[in-house]
Amino acid sequence: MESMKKVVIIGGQTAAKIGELFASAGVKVAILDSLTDSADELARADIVIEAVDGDGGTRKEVILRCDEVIPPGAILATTASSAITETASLTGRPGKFIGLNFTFNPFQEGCLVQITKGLETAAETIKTCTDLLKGAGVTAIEVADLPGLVLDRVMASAINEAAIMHMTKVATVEDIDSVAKSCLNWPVGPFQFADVIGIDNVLATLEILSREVSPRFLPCRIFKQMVAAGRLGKKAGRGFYTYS
Amino acid sequence: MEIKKICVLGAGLMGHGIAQVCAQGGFEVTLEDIKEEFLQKGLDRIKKFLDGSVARGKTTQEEAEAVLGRITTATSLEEAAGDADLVMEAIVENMEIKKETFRQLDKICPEHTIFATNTSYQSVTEIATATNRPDRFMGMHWFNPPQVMRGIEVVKTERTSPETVAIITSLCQQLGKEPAICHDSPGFIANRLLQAWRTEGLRLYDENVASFQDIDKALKTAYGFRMGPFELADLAGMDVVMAGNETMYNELRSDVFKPPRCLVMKFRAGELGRKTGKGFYEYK
Ligand SMILES: NC(=O)c1ccc[n+]([C@@H]2O[C@H](COP(=O)([O-])OP(=O)(O)OC[C@H]3O[C@@H](n4cnc5c(N)ncnc54)[C@H](O)[C@@H]3O)[C@@H](O)[C@H]2O)c1
Repeated sequence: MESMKKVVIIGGQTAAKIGELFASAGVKVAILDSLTDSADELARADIVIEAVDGDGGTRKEVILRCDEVIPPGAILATTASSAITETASLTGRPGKFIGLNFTFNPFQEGCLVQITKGLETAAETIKTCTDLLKGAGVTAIEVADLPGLVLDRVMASAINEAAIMHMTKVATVEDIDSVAKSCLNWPVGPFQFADVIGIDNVLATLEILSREVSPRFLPCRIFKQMVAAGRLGKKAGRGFYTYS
Repeated sequence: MEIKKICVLGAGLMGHGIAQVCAQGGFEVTLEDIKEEFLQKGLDRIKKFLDGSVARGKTTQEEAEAVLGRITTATSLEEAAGDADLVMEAIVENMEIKKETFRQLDKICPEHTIFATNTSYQSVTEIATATNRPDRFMGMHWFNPPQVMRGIEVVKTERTSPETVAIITSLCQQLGKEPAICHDSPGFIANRLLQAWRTEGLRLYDENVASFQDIDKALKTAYGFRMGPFELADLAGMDVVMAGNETMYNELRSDVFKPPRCLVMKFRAGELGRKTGKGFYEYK
């Protein structure tokens, strides 16, 4: 039997959730909220997952620092949903660099990992990660390194079209959400979904997709206006709907 | 105005179910089709559905019989729609045939009769031009199967009167349905939303981002969709999906709806989905 992998996860809330997932499946896991005073844990890690909630700058800093201190044979992973190949090229281990994008179902039980292969990611790296997730009972799929991966691209397309329908007066926000559920059997409507994801995140995703995948993702104007007005969705108490 | 008598045109997949829902709601219904045998087939489907409901204890034998008792059939428009307060059209998806049918109905029906079309992709505004009652004309877009699906899109044109919208909206509620009001536009709400979602899913496969099985798995696991884009395409059939995409792409001139290559190639290969035993998946 292969020796049990030691997983270290760096970050805040998301890191804690991922840690819980592994720990409950009996995987040896450590969660670090910062890199200071944690040289021991990092030096003994087999897989390090960067799960920093925050801007790209912080992510990059954490990744580069890890690359310096973790064992040369260890796998370095990021939860980012884009630019895996580019980030890998900044490290000294592009073959052992990989994307592990965790999506926790916000509406019910369930988690999906999008295992993202960079151009240089070694087959062995993918296999180690696939085995680790399988062993932990987590559903995973393999995806190519394209912005938005699978989930963000499909959902962004639907949410943007819903917003265009709303802004061109085809129907109200409430009626569009109601149709999604009662006519299409969707778990939630596109605007309810956008509010949960965060309007700032929806806008950021659409902007990356429109720049790097296709102009068909050009964000509907409402998203920019909502972000400017602070209507960021559920977390702000106000998005397409008002929350108390 | 109060609706008492409803005429349903077309006893096919949608029409028989619509007629059943109306009869269950207590309305007198006349179901019309071009041939007696189509009507019989529609009635048989209704009976089968009701038998199932009785067997599962959802309804009683008496109630099922009462529902059937409220449905009469006819093969002529005069007989079927002459005294109807509302005509719901669910015949073939063809603009000329729909227009011709409404042209005749406009002469046959009383002044107050409201006309509704169940078209999925044709312009409600254009169909209404066949009549002299554009204010009493609208879309009532049901979903398959009508007996089960809760939502109905209530489609108004620039010319539909607010009274007509109010009457149809409250009728939907009386039938236990959830109406959503939308302006006449390509694909209305549901098909436009569904296509924006499904087409992008199919396109990911074109671009080799992931396997189609994994794309389906991802959307179901991460967000609780009941079916993935490829399972849905197989269920609807590539011919139907292609036609929908083409219509939306031509009407809205938006790349969001451009038919993905994998869909076009499945269509050309005749692998239409469940109905041919093979689409993206295989069916035994
Ligand atoms: N199938 C779906 O899921 C669905 C969903 C929503 C809306 N629709 C729309 O509903 C309508 C009917 O679709 P369907 O799937 O029930 O088709 P269908 O082929 O199952 O049924 C159509 C019926 O109309 C009859 N018919 C044809 N011409 C007629 C005429 N001139 N007068 C009277 N009857 C006539 C046919 O004999 C047939 O029985 C279409 O406009 C379609 O776009 C379909």
